[in-house]
Amino acid sequence: MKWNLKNITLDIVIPLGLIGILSAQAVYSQQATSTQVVTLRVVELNKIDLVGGALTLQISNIDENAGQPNPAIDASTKLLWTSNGDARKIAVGSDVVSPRFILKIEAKKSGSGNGFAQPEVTLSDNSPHDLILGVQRSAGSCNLRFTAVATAEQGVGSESHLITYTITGG
Amino acid sequence: MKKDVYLLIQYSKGLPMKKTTVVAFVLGSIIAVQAAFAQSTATQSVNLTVSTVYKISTSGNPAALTVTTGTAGTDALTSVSDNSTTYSITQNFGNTVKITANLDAALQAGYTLNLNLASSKGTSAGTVNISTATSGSALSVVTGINRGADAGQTISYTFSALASAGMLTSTTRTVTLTLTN
Repeated sequence: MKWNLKNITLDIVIPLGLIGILSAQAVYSQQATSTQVVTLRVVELNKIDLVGGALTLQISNIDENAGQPNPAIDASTKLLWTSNGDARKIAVGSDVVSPRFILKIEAKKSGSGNGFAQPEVTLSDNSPHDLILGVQRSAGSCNLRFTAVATAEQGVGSESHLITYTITGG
Repeated sequence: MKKDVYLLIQYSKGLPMKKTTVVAFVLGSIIAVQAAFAQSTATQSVNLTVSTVYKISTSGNPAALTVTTGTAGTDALTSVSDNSTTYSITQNFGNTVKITANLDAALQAGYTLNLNLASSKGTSAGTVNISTATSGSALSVVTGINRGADAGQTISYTFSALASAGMLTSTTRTVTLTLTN
């Protein structure tokens, strides 16, 4: 057999090259696998909380022009919520069925998150009243503004309310 | 041989007793030396080959990871973890072997699956977010694994979610751990 460049290429170089490539693949593509199945779930979740504890509204001044006591106002309470549901709302209610004095509450929506603050609510009975609507998949907050009102005719006295906030499907 | 012995015996007949003993001793020594060199040998070539071994296994599936609570005012819900499963490996390839991890499909935005593999033969990458790691983008979770075996190393999963991502009905993902160079 006469050796020339073509023969050397066809008979030696190419086969050796192929062997080299195959060997390299055998060495460098080694791997093994193992699998696990992971089950993930997020349940419906609604959380609501308050920053600020019990508060006292004391009516002690009188508007001499109007001849009535001045309202007592407190805006120190902050309401926080988190919901991963859609179309939730936050309602507020008092445990007092027939309050002697007037207690009003308003959500001042200056915090984060979505939701629409409703107009000021008068807690005139123990039924829940809408405070924030349209809460949707978010964490949010707002400040609460309480206003206590009394007339001179109602005289002096004290009254306690247990206020309950509820986040529910709306 | 027989002829030699015969000649020696014949020769010894004409010698005194003392010389006969010497001749017998010499004769015995010659025979003993011949016996010592009368052995044969055979040889075999034994070729030993150890192929590349790559093995990885896991102890089963982790428990369901269910987010059930959170903190009011915080979008990130309370994460849940599972470290009930383990993995074992054996490899004799080299000291630069690694383990990668990927999912069969990425998680939706707002959900995070973290993976942490302990290792005593390599360097754990710590907690790795594999939420969007798929077959084409597997992430290294252990690197620099030395030759040998590493058995019963803990696999830790942590699942977290944002409230803004909404609820998630029971969803499965297949996590593939690959031992590779």
